[in-house]
Amino acid sequence: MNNLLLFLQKYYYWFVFLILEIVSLGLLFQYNNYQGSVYFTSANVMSGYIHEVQSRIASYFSLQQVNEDLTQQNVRLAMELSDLRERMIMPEDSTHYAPSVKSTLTEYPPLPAVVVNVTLNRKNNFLTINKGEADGVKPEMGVLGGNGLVGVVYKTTAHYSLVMPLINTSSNISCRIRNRGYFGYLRWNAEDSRYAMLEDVPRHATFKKGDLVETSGFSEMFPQGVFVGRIDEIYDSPDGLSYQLKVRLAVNFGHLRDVLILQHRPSEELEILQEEVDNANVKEEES
Amino acid sequence: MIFSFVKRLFAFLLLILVQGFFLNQVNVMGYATPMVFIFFLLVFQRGSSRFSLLLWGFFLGLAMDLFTNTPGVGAASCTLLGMIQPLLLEMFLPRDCAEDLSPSIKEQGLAKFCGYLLLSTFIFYVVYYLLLAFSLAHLESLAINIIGGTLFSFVLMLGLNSLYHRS
Repeated sequence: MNNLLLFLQKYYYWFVFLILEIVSLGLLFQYNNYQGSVYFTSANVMSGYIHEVQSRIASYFSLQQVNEDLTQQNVRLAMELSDLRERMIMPEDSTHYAPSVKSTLTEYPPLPAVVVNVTLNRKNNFLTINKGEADGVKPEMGVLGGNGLVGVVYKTTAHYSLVMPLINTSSNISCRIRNRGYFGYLRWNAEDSRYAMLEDVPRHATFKKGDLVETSGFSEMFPQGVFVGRIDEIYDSPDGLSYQLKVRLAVNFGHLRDVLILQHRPSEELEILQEEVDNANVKEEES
Repeated sequence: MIFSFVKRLFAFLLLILVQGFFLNQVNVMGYATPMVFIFFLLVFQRGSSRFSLLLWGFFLGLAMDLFTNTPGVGAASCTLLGMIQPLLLEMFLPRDCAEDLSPSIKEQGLAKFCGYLLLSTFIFYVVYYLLLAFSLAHLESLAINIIGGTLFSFVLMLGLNSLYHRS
């Protein structure tokens, strides 16, 4: 007994060490599926606030870049406007249906937010933005920057949210090539925060370098036609069955500051349908 | 006793703020990110209570995790560093040194202190990045991250050492 006590006295720190490591690893492994652990991220009240102060100070240093982005965006909008005007004058096909901007805006009321923290050099990058549940933000809402698509809201606390940007290896967004109609999934390969990969583009697709990539509108998070980036390189997929396109992303995540959250109102029908599919999948797994 | 605790707490907060505010944003050529906050653990005196080293290490890592959205990664690797710090220090002691030597250039000599700093930082980086990536898929970029970060942090911590001991 005495020996045991002596032993414990001498080596108690091994137990402390093991306990602390187990706690740490528990945090590490639960993070991905455990809502509560969001308080151990930069979206919690304290570090969220610190990051906000920091970003307010740092914002002055990037004003020039923000200005440039705004100008570019203006030019692009002006070009799009003139393009649309032309189309109004000469409708190609009287039965052609184009959803008007107004309906998109009412379906997805935008909520402005400011990015307070961003990581670029990790495998799973996240943004922190200064709007949360109290402002009506919910997980799975789409997030846009001035230049194009940014990502999807991942987790929310009362006043901050974590956004999973395109440059996260878990991000997976259905996109298409503008005016050509071929679809693929946009993923990131953890290498360069300026590029992402459009995968599973069919072999028979026709397109060229410089073509624009936009959202397909298959998911409810984004309306269709949100600009994502430009095709930069064309590769074959490893199995040779499809194309892999290297896409230069429109958004520069290093200088991102102002974003819009798209508060979509999911249509009931689609939700019911999705639920049925999910249930069917669960049943299949069970049987 | 209380005075030294307050002093330690102050250094703890200062290092966390500097790391969280500035150094986490530094990212040389897309790779080397300095992690200077481990300096806090490395300068614990010889013969410090291992219990306090472990606890300080755990909370240091946890605090850093709040800034980087990596719950558990920093905590696990800092706890490990707190565990092996006494062993590392024993490896780089000068002859006939004091029982309560505090690691620094002045007390250990330049060569021994540098060795101590480099080895500890390297071990920390290896553990940290392996936990972060949790795979050996991108071994090359992992290695660049680890070596770049180690060297960068090492230089910064040498500077920190001279800053710390001037006053």
